[in-house]
Amino acid sequence: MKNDSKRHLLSLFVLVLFGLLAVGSIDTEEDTKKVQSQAPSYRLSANQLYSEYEANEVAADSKYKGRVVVVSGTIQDIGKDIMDDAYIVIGGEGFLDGVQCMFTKGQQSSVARLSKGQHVTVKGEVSGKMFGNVLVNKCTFGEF
Amino acid sequence: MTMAFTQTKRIYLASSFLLMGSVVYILFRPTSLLMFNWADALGLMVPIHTLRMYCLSGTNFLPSWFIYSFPFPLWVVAYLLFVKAVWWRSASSWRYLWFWCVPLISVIAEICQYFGLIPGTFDPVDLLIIILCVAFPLSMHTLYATNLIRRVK
Repeated sequence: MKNDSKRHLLSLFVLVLFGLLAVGSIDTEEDTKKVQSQAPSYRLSANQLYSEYEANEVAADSKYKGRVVVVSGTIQDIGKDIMDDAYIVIGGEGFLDGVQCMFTKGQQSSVARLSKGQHVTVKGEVSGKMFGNVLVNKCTFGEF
Repeated sequence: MTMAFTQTKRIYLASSFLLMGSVVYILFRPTSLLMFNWADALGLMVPIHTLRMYCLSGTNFLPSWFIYSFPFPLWVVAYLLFVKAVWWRSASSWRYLWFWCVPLISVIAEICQYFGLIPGTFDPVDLLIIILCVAFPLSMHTLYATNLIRRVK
């Protein structure tokens, strides 16, 4: 019985080790790659997307939330959120307006090369309105 | 003597599979894997990048199934061999639970990926290799149990 407890403990250790390896093998960019490969449902300017959310958030959510869109606009802000993920805000004019595009760690070098006032086109998945901005996740750059 | 040898041999074999799988992940898989974030946090990315640079040409001639479908099942086999070594000569029914939990979860996870229930890309090659890799320690066990390997020796 005592021997069995030792075996359970060892098995648990091996299982935990295996679990860690399995979690470690998760591709953090996989969702982004999936979005990148999808055809966009809408192509519009960041200002247009933001103003539709401003006019009626419920209607805009049912139209855009969870959809892949290509948005373009002028960069208003560049930064990192509390999770250390890079983002840019395109469109809008003041504080907490426009479209906030979130990027994964793999995209950080591309974000680092940008500057405020630059015009960009971004593809990503709309997540709805968050603290004023319209949030677009899993973003990538390019000519779509 | 035979018992100790077989148990030790399984541990060595399991360690080799664990190492082989890990080497493929570290040297040839994209750095977007979560494990590279952990390595970065531990300050290990410089030696990893150096090793990856030396092995860069390997990605051109190694088949994609070897890089993308093979290493995870190697870890599954390593787990199975470790569990077999841990429960060596035990009659407890618990050994079945410990043995089968990982292969079952791996196969179920692959099937769930097919139906889009969990994130990840379903690949039938992954599923096939996992099944083959589970069959490997099982067939080894059967060969030992029926004394076929010892008779050949």
